[in-house]
Amino acid sequence: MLAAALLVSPAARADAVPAGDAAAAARLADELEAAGKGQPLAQALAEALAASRKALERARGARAAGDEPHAKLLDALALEWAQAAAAQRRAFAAEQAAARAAKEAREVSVQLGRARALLAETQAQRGLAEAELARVEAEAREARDAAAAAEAKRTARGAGARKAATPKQAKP
Amino acid sequence: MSRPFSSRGQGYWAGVILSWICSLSACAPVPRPDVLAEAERVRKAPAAVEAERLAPAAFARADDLRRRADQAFEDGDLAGAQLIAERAIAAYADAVALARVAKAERESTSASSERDTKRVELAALEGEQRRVSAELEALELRVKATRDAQPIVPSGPADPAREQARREAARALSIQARLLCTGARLLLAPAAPSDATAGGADRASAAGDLDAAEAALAKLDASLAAGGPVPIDEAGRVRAGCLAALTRVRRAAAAVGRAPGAGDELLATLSASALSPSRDDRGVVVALREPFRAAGLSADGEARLASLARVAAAHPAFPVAVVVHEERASPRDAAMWRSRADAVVQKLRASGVTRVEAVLAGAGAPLVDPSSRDRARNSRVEIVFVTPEAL
Repeated sequence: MLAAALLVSPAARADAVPAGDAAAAARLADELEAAGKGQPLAQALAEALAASRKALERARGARAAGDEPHAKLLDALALEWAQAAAAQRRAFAAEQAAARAAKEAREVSVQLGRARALLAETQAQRGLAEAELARVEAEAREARDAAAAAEAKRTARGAGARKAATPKQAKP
Repeated sequence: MSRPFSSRGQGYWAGVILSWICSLSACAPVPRPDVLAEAERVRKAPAAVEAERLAPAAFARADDLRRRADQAFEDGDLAGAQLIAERAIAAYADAVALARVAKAERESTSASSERDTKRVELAALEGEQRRVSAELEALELRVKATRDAQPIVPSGPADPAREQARREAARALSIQARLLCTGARLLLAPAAPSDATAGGADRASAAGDLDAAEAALAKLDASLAAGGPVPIDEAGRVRAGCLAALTRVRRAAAAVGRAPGAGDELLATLSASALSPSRDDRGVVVALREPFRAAGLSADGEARLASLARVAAAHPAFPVAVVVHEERASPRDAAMWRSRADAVVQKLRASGVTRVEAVLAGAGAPLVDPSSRDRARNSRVEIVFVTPEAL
């Protein structure tokens, strides 16, 4: 046992990791598989998760052969792949969010273009309506002025007739 | 024939050759495992190069693992070197994924910012669209109203009885014109000092129209007072001029489409107070019957006025015109009616109503025939809440 420990390479000793790596890797891989089940995410994570599972399998084999130091290195490798899968999951989510935001920005941009066009059209219609109003008001003004002139003539005639009908006062 | 190698000799030479092979294989350099080269390749891939920039810490950790794998190999730990190199490859994958996260987050932030900026711009455009649409609608309505207006047919000469009827009608139109112009004048007076400059050129132009309408009204009154043929058509035009001036003042005071419905709210408030309001060109009207006692207000009149004053004070955008109608024209009672009108105005002002003005309408706008038995109904006070918005 002691001899086996002494035969372990310095690098393997340096990379000796806590025994919990295997458990952590398995837990993380399970969690990620459950999260991605039946979703496009599963395909994105498949490779990294398969590598993690394979490393765990190899670690078990190494342990069975009594090679604990390399088993621990393999545990660390499994955890590394599981963590890479977790990072890929984050990347997948972030890319989806970015795609959503870009889609929304494009949609708002399209709406903006339509709103600009509609406003330009409405402004043009307003200009036409202003011109039309000026025209019909000018016509109405002309009719009003003509009526006022006719009435002025009538009242002037009436006032003249009234003046003529008033008897002149006899001179004392 | 001697045999080059006896069986014993054969064993010896086999041992020598084997020992040579063994010694040669022990001295030959151990080939570098593929996985180390692969880690090197992964490191140089474009995605990893980008990861070095976007996820420097994760990339540095992967680099460190790769160097340790090389070191292990140089130290003769082939298995350890392979496993650490594999771990370095996984760490590069981690760095690449983290770089994707950073890149996606950066793009997401940029897209969200662009989206939010455009949403603000869109909201502003939609507001402008609403305003321009409301203006267009108002213009189209005015075009339609002007087109649909009956052509003016000048009135011809009339017999004395018809002239008398025209005179009464012209006086009624004159009173209506005065009420409309008074409403416009009240609206022109700013509700608050900060409102004095609101409207700008539109307000000045509307004030010019109002001056012209009031001048035409004064001319009409003078003409009616002078006797002679009645300018009945002119009376109609003067009334129309005052209504147009009131409309222009309203348009100048509030942009089309902005906060419409204030009049509806006031009407609802007054209806809820059982004050039986009605609505006409001037605004919202509440008629008070028999609110006077001698030259002042009766107790009941005071109470009803107090109730109206509370509503008026709560709606400062609506100036108030007090219109006093007499039962029948009686020059002898003119001073008493003036005194009654002043009493109403004072009561309103004392209750916090700032913009209030009285108009003595005389008997020119009766509700019933002044010669009938129920002519007392003609005596009334109208409290007019002048609507500040264009309908």
